[in-house]
Amino acid sequence: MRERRLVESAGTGDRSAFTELYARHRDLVYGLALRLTGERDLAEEVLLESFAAAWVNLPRFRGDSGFGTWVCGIAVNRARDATRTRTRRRSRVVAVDPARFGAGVAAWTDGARHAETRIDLERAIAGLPPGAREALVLRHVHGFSCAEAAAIMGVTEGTVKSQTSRACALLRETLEHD
Amino acid sequence: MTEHLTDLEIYDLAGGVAASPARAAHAADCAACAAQVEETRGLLEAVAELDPRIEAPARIESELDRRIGERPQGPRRVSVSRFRAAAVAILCFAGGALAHAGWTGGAAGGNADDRLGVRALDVQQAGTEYVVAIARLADDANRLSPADRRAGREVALAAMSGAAYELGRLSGPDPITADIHRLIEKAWLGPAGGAP
Repeated sequence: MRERRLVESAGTGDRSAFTELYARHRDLVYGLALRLTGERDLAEEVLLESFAAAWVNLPRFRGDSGFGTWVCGIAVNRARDATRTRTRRRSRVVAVDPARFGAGVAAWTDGARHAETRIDLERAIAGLPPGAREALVLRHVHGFSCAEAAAIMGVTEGTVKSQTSRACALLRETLEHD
Repeated sequence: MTEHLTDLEIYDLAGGVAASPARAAHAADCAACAAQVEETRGLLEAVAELDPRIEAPARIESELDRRIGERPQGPRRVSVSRFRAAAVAILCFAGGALAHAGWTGGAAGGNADDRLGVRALDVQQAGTEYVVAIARLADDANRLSPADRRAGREVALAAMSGAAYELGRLSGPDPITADIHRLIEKAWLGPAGGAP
């Protein structure tokens, strides 16, 4: 069934339609939540809370954006709330470990396909400041346009660009330091 | 030599966004800036290769199912549906009680043993539905407001009182049935036995 029809049905209380929407978007939202929070338990909480909120608010969803974009926006806000309540990030699943960046820039430019390098990159992304991380993940991992990312983050497109460029600069710096 | 490229200019150039001629010229002449643009380009390619999807734990779906089931259309609807369950219970009970009254009154027509079986079955069915409805009410009690919970309890006790009364009529003078009825009346109306 087309997504628009699913959204309409779910908005009128059709739980099977909502379950289908969940099945289609859960891994994307979980991926986003895990990258933004850095903790599995928080990411699970964000995933659950995001879809629970989507269910309640679907009747008011106007369809200005796709359902996926809309629910990702909810997830970003929930991830911010969730991480804000944590005083420490000690149990980060993808905690930054500078010792893992020994390969340096050459490794990820020449061999980014290797799993180990990808893990290093994930760790470096996890170590970014929240705003820079949000912008980079939304723009370049999830592929949202600058305008979509701005709408999701609730900032201007200029802020998205500046946060993304900052993220790139920080990543370069992190990966260059052995 | 002009100033080095800013982070934003490096990002723009890495993404193929044209800079002003002067800045583009700097990027071409400055080895350090050119290297940073290339590094950023490679970095963005690597980031884009990361899979945005990460498999969500399966148990979240059942938890979500439970969560959205709690409030399908807002909390008030939940309360209404609980009262509907209680109302169904009372109607079922009333049907069973009427069936029982018809049987004890010796309605005309048909074999007496057959009628007894049908009436008993009616009562059994009504009783089962009643118990199920009350169980549902009890299951959701923690999600009801205190006022709704009290009202649900009163409805259930009223039905139980009616059932105990009919049971007394069926069994005749029976101290155990009388005690059950008295206890239910006490729980429903309070120790003073005032009207609800």
